[in-house]
Amino acid sequence: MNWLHTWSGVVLGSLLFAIFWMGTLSVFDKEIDRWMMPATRLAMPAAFSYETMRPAYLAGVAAKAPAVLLLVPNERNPVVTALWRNADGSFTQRLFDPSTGAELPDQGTLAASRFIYPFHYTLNLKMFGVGYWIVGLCGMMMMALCVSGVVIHRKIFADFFTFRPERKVGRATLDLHNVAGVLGLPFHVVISLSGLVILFAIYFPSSIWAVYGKDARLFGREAYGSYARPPAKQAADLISFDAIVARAKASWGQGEPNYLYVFNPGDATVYVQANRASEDVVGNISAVAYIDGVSGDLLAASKPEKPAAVVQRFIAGLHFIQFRHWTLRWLYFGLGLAGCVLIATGLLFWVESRRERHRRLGRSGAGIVEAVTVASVTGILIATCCYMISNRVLPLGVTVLGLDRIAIEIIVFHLAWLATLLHAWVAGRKAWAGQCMVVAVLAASAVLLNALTTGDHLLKAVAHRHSWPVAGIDAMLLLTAVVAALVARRLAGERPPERAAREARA
Amino acid sequence: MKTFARTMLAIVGGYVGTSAIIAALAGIAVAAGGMERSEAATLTSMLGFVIYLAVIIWSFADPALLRVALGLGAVSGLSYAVVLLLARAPV
Repeated sequence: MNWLHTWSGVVLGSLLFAIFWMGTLSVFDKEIDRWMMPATRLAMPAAFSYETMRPAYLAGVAAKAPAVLLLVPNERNPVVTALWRNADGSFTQRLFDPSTGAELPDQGTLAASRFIYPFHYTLNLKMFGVGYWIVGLCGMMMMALCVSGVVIHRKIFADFFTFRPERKVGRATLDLHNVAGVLGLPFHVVISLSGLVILFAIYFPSSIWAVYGKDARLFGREAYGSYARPPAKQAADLISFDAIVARAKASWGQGEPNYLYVFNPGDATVYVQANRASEDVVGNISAVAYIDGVSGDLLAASKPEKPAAVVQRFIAGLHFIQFRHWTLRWLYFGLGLAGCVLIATGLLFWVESRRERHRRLGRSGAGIVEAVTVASVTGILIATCCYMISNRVLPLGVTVLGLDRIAIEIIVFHLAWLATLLHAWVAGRKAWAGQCMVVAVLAASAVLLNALTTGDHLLKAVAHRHSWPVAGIDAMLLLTAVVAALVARRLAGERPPERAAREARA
Repeated sequence: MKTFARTMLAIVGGYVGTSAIIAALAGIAVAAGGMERSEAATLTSMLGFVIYLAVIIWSFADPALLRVALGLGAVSGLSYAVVLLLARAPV
C-alpha cells in the first residue's frame, strides 16, 4: 500500500496537479471568461426576449453550418453565444449582445471555457481521444491514492489535528499533506469518481456493447430520448424563438432553457433541441424537448428518467456544478485548492525525504522529480498568469508570423510553462522561492494590466453588480500575489538542510 | 520486472477484466433481471469504476501476484463466456 501510494503519486502527481488546478479554475470559468473577454462584461437586460437570439442564428445559417448551438445568456454568462462546426472540422464561436442582439467584436481568445476547462478533462490532447484516457487513468489513480492513503494513516484522526507549521519545512509539508488529505478526503473521492462517471460511456463501453450488440447508437436514443432527422434541402424560415421556448416550457413545466440547439438551420426540416437549465437541481440534464422549427410542434421530449439514469446524472451534476449556489461554488473552489495543496505537498515530501540520500549516492532521481514538481506546481501558476497577461497585452485582431491571437495566447502559455521547467532544472532547490516571487509579480501585473487596458479597476468593478466577476478574479489574483510573495520570503529565509545539519554539529 | 508485471496486471488486466465483468452483469440484468437495456448499461458501466478500483487495490495489496493473475483471469474468462452465451441465446 505504501509502495502504491508513493509511486503512483510520484509518477502521476504532476499530471494530477495540472488536472486539479485547471478544474479548480473551471469552477469560475465564466468569471475568467468575463475577465479575458472585456466586451462581454455586460449587464443582463431586465427582461430577456429569446427573439434577441435571431442574429446569432442567422450568422450560423449564413455560414451554412449543419447545426448551430445557441447558448441562452444568464447572469454568469451574459452573452448570446453561437457555436458551430465548420466543414473543415474547426469550430466557430460568435458572441452577441443579450439586450440588442448586435454582434460583439471578436475577442480573439479561448479564455477559460474553451482552453482551461477542456484542459481539465483532456489536457487539450485531442488526437485519438488520448487526453480523455490519460485523465481517466489519473482519476482512477487518485481514487487508489485516496484508499492507500487512508490505509497508510492509521492515525487518521490524530493527523487531522496535527499541523506544525513552526517546524522545519519537511515536517510541515507532511502535516499539510495529511491535513489537506483528511479534511478533503470525501471531496477528493467524490470529485474523482464523479469525473469518471460523467464519461462512463467512453471509459466502460463494454456493457453497452453487451446489451445493444451492433446497434450501440440505440443507447443514446433509449437513454436520452435523442431525436434526429436529415435535411430536405429546401429553404425555410425559423419561427419565433419565443414561440419555440414557450412550446418547450409547455413540455417540461417550470424553468428556462440553457441552450437551444438548432439542427438543419435554414432548411424546411429545421428542428430545435431545447434543454432545460439545471440551475435549481443537481442533476446535469433535467429535461429536453425537440421542437419543429417551422410548425412549432413538439417532435420528441425526454421521458421521466429511470433510476440508474437519475443516479448517473446526479453524480455528473455534482461534478459540473451548474446549479446556482454561490456558497457551494466557493466551497468547491476551496476544496479544489486543498486538492492542489495535497498533491503538491505529497510530491514535495517525496523530494524532501530523498534529496540528501540521492545526492550522497550520486543519483539524479530526486533532482529530476524536484524539477518536474516545481514546473508542474509553481510553473503552471506562472503559465496561467502569462496566459492572462498575454490576453491583456495583445491587441484585438493581431497576427504574428501568421498566427492569430488565439494561437499566440496558447503558445505563450506553453512557452512560459517550458521556461519554468528549464529554470527549475538549472536552479534546483532555489527554484521554489524564485518561481513563487515570479508568480507574485505576474499576478499583480495582471491586475494592473486589466485596470490599464479596460478601465475596470477593482474599486470600479466592485461598484457594479455585473462586473463583480471581474472584481472577483482581480481579488483572487491579488490574493495569489500576496500568498506567493509570503511563501517566497519564507522559503528564501529557510536554511538549506545540509547547512542546518553542519551548524547543529558545530 | 516484477513491479512492471504487477503494474501492468493492475492497469491493463484490471481494465480488461472489469470490462468483461460489467458486460456479463449487464447481460444478466437484462436477460434474467428484466432490466431495461439502457438502465442495465448505465448501472453496470458506473459499477465498473468501483470494480476496477477494487482490482487495482487487490493487485497491489496481495503479495502473491500469481493468485491475482489467476483469480482475475478466471473471473474474466467466465464473464466473457457468459457474454458470448447471452449474445447467442435468442432474446
